[in-house]
Amino acid sequence: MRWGAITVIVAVLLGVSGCGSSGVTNDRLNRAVAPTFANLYVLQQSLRGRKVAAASLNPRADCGRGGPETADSGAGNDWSCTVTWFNTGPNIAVTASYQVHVQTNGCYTADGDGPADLNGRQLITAADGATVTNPLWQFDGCFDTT
Amino acid sequence: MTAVAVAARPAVRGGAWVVYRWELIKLTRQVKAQFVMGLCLLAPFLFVVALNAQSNVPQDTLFGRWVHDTGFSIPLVVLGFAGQWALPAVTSVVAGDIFACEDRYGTWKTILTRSRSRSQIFTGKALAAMTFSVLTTVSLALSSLAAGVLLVGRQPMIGLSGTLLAPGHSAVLVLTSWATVLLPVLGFTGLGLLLSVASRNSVVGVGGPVVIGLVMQLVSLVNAPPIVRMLLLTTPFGAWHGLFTAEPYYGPLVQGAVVSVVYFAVCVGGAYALLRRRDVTGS
Amino acid sequence: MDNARPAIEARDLAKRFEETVAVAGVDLRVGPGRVHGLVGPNGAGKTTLLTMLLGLVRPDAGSIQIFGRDERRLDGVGGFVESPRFYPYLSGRRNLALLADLDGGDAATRIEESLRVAGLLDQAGAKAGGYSVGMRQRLGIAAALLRDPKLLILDEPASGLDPAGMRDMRALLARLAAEGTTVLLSSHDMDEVEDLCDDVTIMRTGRVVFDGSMEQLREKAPDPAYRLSTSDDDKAVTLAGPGLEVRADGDGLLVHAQQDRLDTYVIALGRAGVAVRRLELESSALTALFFRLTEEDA
Repeated sequence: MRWGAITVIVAVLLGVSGCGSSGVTNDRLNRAVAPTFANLYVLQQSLRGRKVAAASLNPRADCGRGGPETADSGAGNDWSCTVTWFNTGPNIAVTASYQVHVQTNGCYTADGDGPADLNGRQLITAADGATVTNPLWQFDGCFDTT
Repeated sequence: MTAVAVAARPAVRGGAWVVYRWELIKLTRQVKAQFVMGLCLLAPFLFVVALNAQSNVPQDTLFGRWVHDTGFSIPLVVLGFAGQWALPAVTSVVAGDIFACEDRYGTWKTILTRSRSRSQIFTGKALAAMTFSVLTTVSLALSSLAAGVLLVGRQPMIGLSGTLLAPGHSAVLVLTSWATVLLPVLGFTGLGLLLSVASRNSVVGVGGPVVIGLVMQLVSLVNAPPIVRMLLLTTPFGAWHGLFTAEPYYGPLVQGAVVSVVYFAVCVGGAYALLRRRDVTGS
Repeated sequence: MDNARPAIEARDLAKRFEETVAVAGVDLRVGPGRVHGLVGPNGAGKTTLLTMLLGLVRPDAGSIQIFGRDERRLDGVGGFVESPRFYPYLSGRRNLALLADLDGGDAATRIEESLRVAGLLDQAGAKAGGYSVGMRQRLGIAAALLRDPKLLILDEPASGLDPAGMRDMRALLARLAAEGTTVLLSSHDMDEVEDLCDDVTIMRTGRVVFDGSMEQLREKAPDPAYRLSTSDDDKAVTLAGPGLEVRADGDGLLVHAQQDRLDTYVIALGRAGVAVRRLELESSALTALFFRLTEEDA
């Protein structure tokens, strides 16, 4: 009876764990950072008085970890992402860089690494003259590691 | 030599509820329970006042950067702290002692020679500990939400995908997030109950879950295979993150719920088995 | 002995704790309405036996029936083992209220009466943590009486009580017995048991060495023992007549005799020129028997 219960518990846990998949991968990070950046870009531009449609941005993120020898998976503070999106037209691609610290639970903090006027400064001037926090300077997000 | 099964004392009508009621009465007279509950109601307000008095923001907690911008970040920041050590500590203050105190006072022989079976006494005490855990968690949730809304405001919040969340929606998500941690809270309650019964010692019962929680936190910071993270009871405390993305994900919530329930069942089942078989000698 | 169903019928009970055998093959039969004493030196297994009867400890072997019922319900049974313990932060009355609720039924209506019978009405409002040992014993009795018991199982009920308290306790137990309550009480003092009990079971290292009524025990009892010291102990030993047992031990002479033979002996000593310097009762007949049963090797 006791062994039966233990077997059931182990089976349930294994079933729920989706065993094999490893938590933090560059694929998941890419798919999380890109839309987050895009939404915050829209927000930043609206603060500066410019209306941008999120759908037109077509963002893509390319994240990697450390040097070429380091595997692109696992938590760490040596991740970096390059975000590419289409700013003023479907053919003009613009990039921005971020240093990203990813935790084991799938939550990350991205620190703006250029260009300076986009994500280099913490404070920006809004269209109405007020000084506001630059939403693209540093942002947090989370993704599913299961 | 034939072994004799100790027959369970037949249930008296009213059963475990009488035990449950008296355990709650005894709890309300205990200074430590009053203190912890008071803390849960008051601490968030003190926290917000302290935050408002200066311009820095908590750096390493999710939503910490927004504590001056929207009141809805407050309950989430408190949730981030609380999951790390405060909630296990709060629950084990009662759960870790509720069985061990009978050993401390020597009163097992007094209450086990009445008309309640051991099952009823176990159930009443376990329910009382669980009630305390739920009440303190709910109090902390509501008071931190109130502190945020009253002292910072009801501004819309930026979610984890960069989208803006309306105040009403934010409030719902905040309350839902707190609701999801009730399961790991009950898991830690079960752990406290098990340690309380097994060790017969309040220090182990109260301190044990806290230490175990801290160790689990440390393990979860390391790059281990996902199965290891999944087996930690502290992981479900962060499962609510998936509610705040533009496309919510529920994987961690489902896993966390299953793991919490398994911990609870194993711990409570183990505690019950130990109590049923225990020999209560006179001393 | 009547043929009515016994209050307690325990057969072949055994219990061992790790390496120690506490109880080994004990039978116990307590007749209804009787006061039954369970006597033995410390470590004889009395408390272990009582904890098994009260359902606190699982026997390793054997069977227990209380009022003929196998399930060992504690209906109509009250009592305590070793010194009774209560919640120190609740008053005596509140402790009883808690226990009455755990009992269910109409136990709550008996709280004041139990306190009165136990002599605790005045102190019932004080926190139990401040009670003396004697007051705790009384509260234990009150707690047992809440259940309106037909059977009282009490472990050393007079321990920790001053002489007045002991007297009150004995009077209370005698009254309860007179009203028909069956009482099983344990003690390590044979004299205390002699006053109160109808039947007695004597235990030694986990086994029963005597089981029967007080009359049967008295018949088996040797003569009482007296401590004698004289001006010439050696000569006194030689003067011992029939029906008299005189032994020298480290502290003078030990004389086992009935009263009349002792009188004859003392007179004979005087006539022979041996002066009696000290003569006092060392142990009663029953206590002497008790020591013989529980200390000397069989």
